[in-house]
Amino acid sequence: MTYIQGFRNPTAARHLIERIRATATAPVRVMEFCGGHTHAIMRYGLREALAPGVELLSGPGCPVCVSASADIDQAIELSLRPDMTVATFGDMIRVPGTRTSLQGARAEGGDVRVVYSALDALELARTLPERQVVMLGIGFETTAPTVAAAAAQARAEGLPNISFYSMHKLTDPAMRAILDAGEVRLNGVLGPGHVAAITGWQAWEFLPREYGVPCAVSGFEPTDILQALLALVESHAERSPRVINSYGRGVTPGGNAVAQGLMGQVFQVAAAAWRGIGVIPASGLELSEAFADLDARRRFDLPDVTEGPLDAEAALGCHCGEVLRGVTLPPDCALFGTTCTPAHPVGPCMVSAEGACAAHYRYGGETL
Amino acid sequence: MCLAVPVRIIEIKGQVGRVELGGVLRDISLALTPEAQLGDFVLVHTGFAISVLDEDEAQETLKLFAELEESWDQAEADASDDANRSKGLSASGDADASSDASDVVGETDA
Repeated sequence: MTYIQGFRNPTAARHLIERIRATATAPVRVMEFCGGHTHAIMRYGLREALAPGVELLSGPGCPVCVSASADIDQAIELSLRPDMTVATFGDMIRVPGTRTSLQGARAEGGDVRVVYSALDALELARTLPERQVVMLGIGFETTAPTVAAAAAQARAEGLPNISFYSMHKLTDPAMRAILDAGEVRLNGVLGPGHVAAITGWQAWEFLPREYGVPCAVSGFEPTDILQALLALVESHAERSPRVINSYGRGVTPGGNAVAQGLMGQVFQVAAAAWRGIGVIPASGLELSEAFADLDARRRFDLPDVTEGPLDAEAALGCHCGEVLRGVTLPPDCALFGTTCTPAHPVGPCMVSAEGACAAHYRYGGETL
Repeated sequence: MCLAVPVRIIEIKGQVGRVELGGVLRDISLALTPEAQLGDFVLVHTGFAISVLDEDEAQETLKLFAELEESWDQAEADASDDANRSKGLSASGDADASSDASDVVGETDA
């Protein structure tokens, strides 16, 4: 049984592309919510292969890209305090805050450690008992349960020197915010498969029900994406918007109940600041009252970032915000490929490999 | 960021599963998938199994791709026959294939 090569079958891909082209007689505009999908779409050349019948727009599903600079500034400030260690997933380390990045903070003597898993932060706390370790909680519903599991384990062990700085965000309020803003009209949404592995595909039923927009939950291999796009163009052509689970091997209707339960214990829903979008009510996760003692914001008395200024890069001419909302394509930004490159990113969409600008820069050929 | 990879569990000790990830043996947490069994494929994200993969569903999708391949080969053969006969190109066979594909997409729903 192969779970990777079998889903990269080039003949099946070619056939799916033909089928999509034949079905999408008028342009169908689809937003891929997830940065992982953006990356795969660009890597496999699907965007070009499907144009002009399917117009693919990137969405806000790159957690690193939507992390507010004010949050990053606070993480940087924590890392520069004596006896303090900040643990982060590697994706975040180069993302610019207002003044510098976590990588820049490390160069200034800040103690920033990259971890593969939130459990690694617990191990850091065990081996560095004289230091306070703060784990940055980054990511959507896919990642939040893993950080919740680490927090629950820290509680069970009674680890005194670890806390969590949650920047976790929820996917459906961001999707709603984009549709409610009315800046972009969509004929379909490519649903994030690994978010749905946790939430279940039924969590996306609000799209057809409330917005009349079909949603196909997709895996991340090229034929997964093509199969989902075919389902979307068919749903659009039939004018019968619904949720289609095109990732049956990984996603169930109700999702992962254990993960959902753990998230519900450790976190509670709160307003969150999204870079490029603004503050969205009830769109993020903060530590719950039951886990308040493990909340870095409360332990170190940090200010609420939803009240401060959000984006530093907009003043530099960066259009990352518009890119995240599907309003602007990366090559249409004047900075793209000139002053803003993966080596010297101005905005977060160029930093993360999953950022739309980085994916276009690497695979799109627009800079040549 | 939401990257997750399919791996097979080759050993289980309590809540820890051993997997082979890119040629390296690695321990992952099964705290979020207590139902995972030895030999199961799971999606691994940041050191945690987040979902046990459904092999029947996967086989179903692969079967669809095999059928696509067959119908593609058939369409190619038809097209080349047509070309030989009339020097014209034909997209014949597409209509049949389309109903096959949408049926199977429908089956993965739910």
